[in-house]
Amino acid sequence: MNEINKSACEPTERLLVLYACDELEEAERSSVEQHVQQCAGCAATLARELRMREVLASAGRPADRLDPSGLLLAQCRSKLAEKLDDDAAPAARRRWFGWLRPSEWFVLRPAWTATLLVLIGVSLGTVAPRWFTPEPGPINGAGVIVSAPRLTDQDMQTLGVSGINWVGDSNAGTQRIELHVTAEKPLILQGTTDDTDVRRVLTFIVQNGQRFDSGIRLDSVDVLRMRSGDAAVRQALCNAVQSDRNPGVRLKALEALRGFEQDELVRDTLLAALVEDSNPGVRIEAINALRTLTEKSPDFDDQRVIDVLRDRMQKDPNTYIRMQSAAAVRQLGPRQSY
Amino acid sequence: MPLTRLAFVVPGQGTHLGCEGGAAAARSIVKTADEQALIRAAQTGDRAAFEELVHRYDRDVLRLALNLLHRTEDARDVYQEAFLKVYKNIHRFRFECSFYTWVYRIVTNVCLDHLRRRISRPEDQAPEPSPDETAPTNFFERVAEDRLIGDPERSFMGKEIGWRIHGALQTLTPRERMVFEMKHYQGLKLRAIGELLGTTEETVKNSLFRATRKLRTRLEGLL
Repeated sequence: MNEINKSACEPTERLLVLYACDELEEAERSSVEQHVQQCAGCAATLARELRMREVLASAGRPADRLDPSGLLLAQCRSKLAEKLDDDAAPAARRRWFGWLRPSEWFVLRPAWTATLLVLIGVSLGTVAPRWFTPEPGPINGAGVIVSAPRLTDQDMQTLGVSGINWVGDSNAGTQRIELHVTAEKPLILQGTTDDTDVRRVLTFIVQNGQRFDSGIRLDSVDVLRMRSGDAAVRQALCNAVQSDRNPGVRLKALEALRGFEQDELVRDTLLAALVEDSNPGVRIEAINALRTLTEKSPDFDDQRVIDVLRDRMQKDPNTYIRMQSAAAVRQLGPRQSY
Repeated sequence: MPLTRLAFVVPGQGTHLGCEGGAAAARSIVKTADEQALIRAAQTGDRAAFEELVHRYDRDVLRLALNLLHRTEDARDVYQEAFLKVYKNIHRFRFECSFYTWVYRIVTNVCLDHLRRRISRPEDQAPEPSPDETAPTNFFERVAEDRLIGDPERSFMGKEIGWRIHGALQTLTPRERMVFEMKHYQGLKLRAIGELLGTTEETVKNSLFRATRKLRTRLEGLL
C-alpha cells in the first residue's frame, strides 16, 4: 500500500461515507477502491466507518424493545379509530346542517348578506308594529258587546279576562276600554268606565285578585282610578290594598285612593297598610297619604290615626316613615300630648 | 448489463424466474391499482378504505417514531398526529408522487417537530428512558430475552454499547438524526430521503456526513 498525497484524501473522506452506505456510482466506487488500496489512512477510515455501521447494526433498535409484542401498534390503531369516529360525527352534522349556519353564507356573500339584512330590517320595521298594536275590531271571531249590562252573575263566577286595552283616540275624547273576556264564550267588552258592565268586571277583577294575573289587576286598578269617586270602586280598591299579594297592585290601588283620605274606609285602609304592609314602598305611600290628610285638615282629630302615627314614629323600621309619622304628629298640634 | 446476466440463467429456471419476476411485477401493478382505488375511496370519505391504507404503513411509521423518539408516549402522539393529518388532507393528494412518499413526508415532519420541541423545551419533556429502562417489563418477554443473552459479560457489553450509541445519537440534530435513521436503519436511498424531507440530495448527503462524523467521534472507543 503506497502513501499518496494527503490533499487527495480530503474529498475522499466524504466519499468513504457514501461508499460505506452504498450511495456511489460505479465509477466513483472504483475510484474510492483504487484510492483506498494506495492510502493506509483512508483504508483505516473506511474500516472504522464499516465497523461503526456493524456496531450500530448490532445494537438493538428502540422499536424492538419498546413494542416487542405489537401491543402499542394495536393501541394506536384503536385510538386513531376512536378519534376518527369523534371527528366524523360533527363532520356529518356540518354536511347536512352546515348550510343552516349563517356564517357559512355570510362570509361567502357579504354584499348579498348586507342586502338581505337591510330588507329584513325594513320588513320588520314595517310589519312588526302591526303585530304589537291591538286592532279595535273583533278578534278570533269573538262577539263584541258595547256597553250593555249583559253579564249575568253566573258569567261573573266563571269570568276570565285575557287582556285590557285602550282603543280609540284619547285627544279626540273617543278613547274606550276593551276587555277581552272569556266567560262561557269569548267576548270583547268595549266601553268607558261609565258603562256598568265594564266597571263591574274591573271591580270584580280587583276584588278577586287571586283569579287574575297581576298584569290584568294592575290594568284594572289603573282604569278604575278614574272612577275612585264611586263608593263601590273605592271599596274594591281598599280591598286590593289590604289583600292583593302583589305590592305593585297594592301601591297602585293606594295611589288611586288619593284625595279620598277623608273617607273612613280609605283612612282605615291607609292605617292598616301603614302598620301591616310588609312592603316599605306601600307603607311610604300610606304615610304620604296620611300626611296629606293632616296638612289638609289641621283640626283633624281622630285618636286612632294619632295613635298609629305615634306608634310608627317609634317602631317603623323605615327612617322616612318614622320621620313622616313624627312630622304628622307634630302638625296635629300641641294639643296632642306625647 | 442485462444481456450478461441473462447468459447466466439456466434454461428452464429462467422461465421460472421470469415467471416469478413477472408475477411480482404483476402483483406490484395490482397492488398499485388497488392502492389507487383505496385512495380514491378514502378521498370520498370511505373510512374502511382509509383504515386499510393506514394498516399498510402504520407499522413502519410507528417503528420510525419509536426509533427516533425513544418513548412510547411520543411515538403514540406522532402516530395519531400524522395519520389524522393524512386523513384530513387526503383529498389534496393528487397522485403526483407515491402515496408512501406523501405519507412519509407528513410523518417525518411530525417527527421533526417533536424532536425540535424536545430540544427547545427540554423542561416540558420527561427524561428519555435509558436502554435499561426500556427493557421489557413483561415476564415472558424478559425470560425470552434473558435466554437469548445468556452470557452475562456479553450482556453487559451489549448494554454498554447500547448506552454509548444512545448517547451518541443524542448529539445529532433532529434532521441529522432523521437522515441517519432513514439511511442506516431503513436503508432508503439519499434521493428518496431528500424527497421525503422536501430537500435536495446534496443537503441530505451533508447531513449524513455530519452525522457520521459526530457518531464516529462519540463511538471512538468502540471502533
